[in-house]
Amino acid sequence: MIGEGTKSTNQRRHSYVQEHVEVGFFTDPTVCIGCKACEVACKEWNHVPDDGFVWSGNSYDNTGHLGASTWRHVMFVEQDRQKGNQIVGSHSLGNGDGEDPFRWIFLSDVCKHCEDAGCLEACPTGAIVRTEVGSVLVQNDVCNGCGYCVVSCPFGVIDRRPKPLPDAGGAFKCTFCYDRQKSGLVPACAKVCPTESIVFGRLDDLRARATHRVQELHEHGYDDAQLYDPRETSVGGIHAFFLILGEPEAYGLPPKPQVPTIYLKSAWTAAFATAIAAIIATLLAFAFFS
Amino acid sequence: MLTTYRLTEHHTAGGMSRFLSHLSELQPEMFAEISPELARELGVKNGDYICIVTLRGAIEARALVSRRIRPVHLNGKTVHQVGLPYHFGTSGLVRGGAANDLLSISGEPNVTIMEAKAAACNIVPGRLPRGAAFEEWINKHVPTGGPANLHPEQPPLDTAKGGENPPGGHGKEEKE
Repeated sequence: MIGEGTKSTNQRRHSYVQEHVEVGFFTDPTVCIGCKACEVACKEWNHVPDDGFVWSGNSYDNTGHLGASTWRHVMFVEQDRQKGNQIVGSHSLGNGDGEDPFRWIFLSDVCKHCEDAGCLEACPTGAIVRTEVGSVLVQNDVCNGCGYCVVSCPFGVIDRRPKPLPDAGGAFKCTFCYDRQKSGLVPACAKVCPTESIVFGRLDDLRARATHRVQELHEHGYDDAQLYDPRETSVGGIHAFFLILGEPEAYGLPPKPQVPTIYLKSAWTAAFATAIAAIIATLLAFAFFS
Repeated sequence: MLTTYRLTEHHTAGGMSRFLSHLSELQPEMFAEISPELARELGVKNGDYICIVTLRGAIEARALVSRRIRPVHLNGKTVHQVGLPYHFGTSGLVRGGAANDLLSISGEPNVTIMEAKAAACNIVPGRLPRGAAFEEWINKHVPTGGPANLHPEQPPLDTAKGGENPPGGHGKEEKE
């Protein structure tokens, strides 16, 4: 992680694809500087087009959300809460001895590559596949643009690309730089991250690092540091997990993400029961009013 | 007081980065960061257009109201800070007011670099008038009460004329 230099897993060549090792991203907002290098590197490597020059007025976040042409998104969260061991005193305007509680958090959001992926289960064409490293990949030459995956993603990551942009119509999302990984390279966003806020590596290795990092932050006064890694829900764990300060809702992350297909059984049961009830009601209507 | 700074997305005055779509979309417009206290005083909301006026010129920008910018108390006076990225200009994929238009030409003799990090300014809510209306507008809104000699090596005006320093003004000097 920090200070490992060339020994970091972000800089090493690897053969995870050939060895079928499960890999992941660990994103740590406490070291992120909000430079958006991950966004730019992602777009450059994957030839993702720009999606409009719109100033949002929401801190420095002019990206807004993940989508067909945004596979990395750096969130800029301004909160009136104490940051770590910030010295909080009386009001900064007065002759106080400290500052108002305030923190500015950057978190680079990305496709979570779920263990049980909603998009993959919904895809009728087989365009979305699971790769050797456990990531979820959209094959854009197979995708027919039906959009079922868009509504099935519990995180709102995948989207269809609108018309004026190149390759419009198909669904796009983060590929986990599968093309780079096949050649032993690290995904572009992790490679460029100057502070190693984005760490790429073996999933089990990253989970151990993340747990250690949370402990370290607790010791340094970041009391609300926690991991966002929903393993107990129907998503069954994610390959890109996050360290967050505070609640996941502040980052637009669902606290209990669910794969929509778990509702299939109850939905079909309800539909079947309704059908039976409708038939009985019709028969009764004929029996009584004939 | 205004100060100027860089954003990570752009390079210097944007001559290179504002022509690249992947960088331009990340910071697509000129903005001025002001504190919620100043915004309340001016009656400005986040995203409104404001004009920043100095002795040297005026530009318009979108107001980005943020608690990150704090007013400071100096000698019992509240001084508001205005943060301006200086990456914008008149051409490229994204355009906007150039913060450098506001700055005085003042050399720092020790390091031979321009002193461009602090200047007094006025803020006027609304869009910047163009054309002939601009001169009238800037004379109305230009900060007054500051020193009239804009350059440290400029001879003081009062010695030549034998009178008082006229109040600072951009277009005013020719008029008077």
